[in-house]
Amino acid sequence: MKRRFNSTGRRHIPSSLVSIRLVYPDEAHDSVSFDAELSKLKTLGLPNNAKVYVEPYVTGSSSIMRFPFGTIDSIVVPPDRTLSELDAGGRIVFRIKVVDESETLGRILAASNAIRPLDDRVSQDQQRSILPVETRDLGEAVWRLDMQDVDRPTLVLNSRIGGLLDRIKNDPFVQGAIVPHAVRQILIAILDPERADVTDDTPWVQDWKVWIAAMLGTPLDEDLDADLVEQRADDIVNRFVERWRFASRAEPNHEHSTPYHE
Amino acid sequence: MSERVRTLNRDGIAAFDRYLSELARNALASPPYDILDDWRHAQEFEPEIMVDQMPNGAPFRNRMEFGVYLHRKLSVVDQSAVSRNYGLWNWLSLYFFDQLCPPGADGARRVGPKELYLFLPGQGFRRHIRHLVRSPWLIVADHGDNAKVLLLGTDRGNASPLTTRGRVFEHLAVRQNVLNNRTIIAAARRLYFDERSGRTWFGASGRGAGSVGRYALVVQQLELTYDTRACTVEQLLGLLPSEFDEYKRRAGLR
Repeated sequence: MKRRFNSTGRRHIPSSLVSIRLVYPDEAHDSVSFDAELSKLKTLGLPNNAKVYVEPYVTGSSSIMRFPFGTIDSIVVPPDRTLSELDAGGRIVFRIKVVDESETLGRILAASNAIRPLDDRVSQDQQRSILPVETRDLGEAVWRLDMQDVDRPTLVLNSRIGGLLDRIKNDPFVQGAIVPHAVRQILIAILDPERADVTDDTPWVQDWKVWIAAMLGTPLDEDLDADLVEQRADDIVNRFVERWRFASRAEPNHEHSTPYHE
Repeated sequence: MSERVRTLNRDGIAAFDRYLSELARNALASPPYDILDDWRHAQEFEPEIMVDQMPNGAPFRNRMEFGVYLHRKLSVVDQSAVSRNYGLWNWLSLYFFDQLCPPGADGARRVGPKELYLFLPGQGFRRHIRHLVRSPWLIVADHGDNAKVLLLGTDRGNASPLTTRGRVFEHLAVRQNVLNNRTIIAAARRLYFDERSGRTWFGASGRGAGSVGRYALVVQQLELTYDTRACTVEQLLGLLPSEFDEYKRRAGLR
């Protein structure tokens, strides 16, 4: 299992210390705004005068904004938090930085990337899920797994296919055709020792390890050889499909009573 | 001749997509220019904007000139609102197709991957940024004159300068955290763009020490430690290791 050391001295800001919520405008043509509760950053034990910045950005886009939020000991919420410069229609996530500006060049003391905001338009179940499901126009693709610049891997279904979101929740045939393949992609990303963008420091990885351990009944093996990554991923996926019995439940006379989400 | 900007609807985008597939099989296939102003495939863009394939009576000389032209034309609308207007970028792509994928002397076109011409949902940043119309606009809109380092690297003797992106672009623009950092792009211009010749330095896009490829990797490392978005170009350049000294010297920084 890969382990990487953070040689920069920069600390990770746990998601439990920040709360960001998207605020939708009353008028459709106005821009989305956001609220941020950052007072718990004090508990990190960083210098009181370190500056706090919030940088909303859109995944899959180059658009980004930057809002100064005062200092660790005196959070000052900027009055205008309108996300007017972000690409419309994209998924908004946030980066938080705590910066030591006591010298001429700002040094990052702590940071967290790809923080997913609370969104009243998304259910609480979705926000807690280790594999949230979204719908977007994917052109001719039926689904894809979104793992780039997100706080958790996200299963994206094509919004052009009517009812697909309901079917992924309720139809074992659709579940079995899509979910195990998505899970396998995630497992390979976690297990692959060469994969630099998915490490033990990646926030969602620990949640997935808990899930894998529950699936296997034992913690995931450490120091897995690169040649064994796909085989191990297949083992875990097999356990997953056996447990959820997608094929049996998809048989015509079977009662679809077992929900996908336990 | 000027034409009013429109947006391709779903049927229009599908027709353009089918054409690109056909062109991959038959290099002599003709572009479906008739859909550009066909109400079944395209709707007028609001507000009214007029564009010209050859505003100076000749094809665009390079991607910077193209980006500046598009930025000027689209400056009447909000950048964030048009950035992901798929129908707009695909209409413009078809409108300028003769410069994006020009026919050779025998009439044959050498078509590239679809993402060069088609801007579609779900493609992801690395494919979106390769769109040959949207990316020059976006880079000029975000970086102004500093866009030169990304857009002028490819026009050495190229008779069709809008068709390719170049290695400087590939190293810098396809990295989301690099492209959206104005300090990093401004510093790249200082290091790698020869203002006298109006081109990137010869060899800058290679793989050796101090190259653009190395720059992209090093600045991403620095971004883990330093708040590079808030620092000056000089401060960022000062953080670069000695392998960049030769380019700093050329830029008059040492």
